[in-house]
Amino acid sequence: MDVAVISGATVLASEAESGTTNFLVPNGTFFFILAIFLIVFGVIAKFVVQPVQKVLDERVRLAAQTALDNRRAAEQDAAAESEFKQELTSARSEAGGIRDRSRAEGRQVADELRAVANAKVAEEVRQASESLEAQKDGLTPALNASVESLSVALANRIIGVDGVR
Amino acid sequence: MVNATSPVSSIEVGHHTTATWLGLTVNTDTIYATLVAAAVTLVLAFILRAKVTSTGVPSGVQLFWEAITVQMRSQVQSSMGLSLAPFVLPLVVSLFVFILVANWISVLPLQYTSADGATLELLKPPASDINFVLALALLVFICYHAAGFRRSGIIGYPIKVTKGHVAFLAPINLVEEIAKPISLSLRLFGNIFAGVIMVGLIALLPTYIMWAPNAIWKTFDLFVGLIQAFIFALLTILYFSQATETQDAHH
Repeated sequence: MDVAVISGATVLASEAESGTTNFLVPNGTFFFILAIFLIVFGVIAKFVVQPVQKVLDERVRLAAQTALDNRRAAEQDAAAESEFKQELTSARSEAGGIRDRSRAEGRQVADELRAVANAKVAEEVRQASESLEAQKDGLTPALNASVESLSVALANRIIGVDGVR
Repeated sequence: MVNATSPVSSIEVGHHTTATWLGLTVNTDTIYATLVAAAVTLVLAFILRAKVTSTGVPSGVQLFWEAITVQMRSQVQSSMGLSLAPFVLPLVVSLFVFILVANWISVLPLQYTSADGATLELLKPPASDINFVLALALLVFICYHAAGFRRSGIIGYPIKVTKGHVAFLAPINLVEEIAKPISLSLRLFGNIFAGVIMVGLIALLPTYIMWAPNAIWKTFDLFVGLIQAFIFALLTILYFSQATETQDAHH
């Protein structure tokens, strides 16, 4: 290691003696490096950072767009769901109404028919009792007339007298 | 025993292969490694550009960039908000990835032998060159002060920076302001440069044992490279938020 350090120092010393430049003093290389870097800077600014930033912004925009689409789809889904429920409810109530109405109609028809039948029954009862009354009225005088002879005949049989008057 | 004069035994501290371009002395090895790092970064960027998607399954490259952008964006947002200086986010993403790749390419064990027989790393980490870290740190320094001037005004901003929270701390505030780019650059430089020296030291070990500390160190170096890239980006955000905050933002 000592040898290495000495030889390094020797190189420095020999350089200084022979008039070669100190390597810590910049020379014309500076300008060439600067030019090369400026070219690299220009290309990276134009062809790398700009497109990459555009890509990053675009990606953020796409993510936001997707989130918005998701929210909108969920909203539409909820709206369709509530509309479906509403339709279902109204259909149910309509069906209930129809059922009630038909039940009422059925009852009305049954009542009407029952009334007609009742009327017919009353009419027939009335006619029957009328005809019975008429028959009674027809028979009563005849029977009344025959009561006397029948009772005489009956009395004569009891007392044993033939029907001679 | 290792011979001191042998080229394999010497540690090449801060040695660079140089050339003169446009009248300027440049370290070609640093430029070369930086170009490789930039190429890797740009390829990753163009792969993303070709396959980026917001609705499909993101590719691995997209996940890589997205993870870094999201992380840095949340850091910027929590410390200063994105609207104050819109170029901060691309700047810190660029800094992080560029420094990360630059630090990680040196993990590849690629070596070549130079003309004088020395074995050298093919891809030296660019951050072990002071020019690399200074270029980035000074760019950040200028940018966050520009953002500060734009936020607090041409007169209000220097006063705010100098005065800080209480007036009598003004000298300390000035020192702190000067220390920011120096610490920002030298922190990265020191960490990566130390890694290079460590690899050089480990290379002096006998071959039959060298692989073990080398593997351990290179693994740790990956971690150091990641942490330093992250710290550089994080401090950049912090400096921007300090420069753009206003008095009423204090609590």
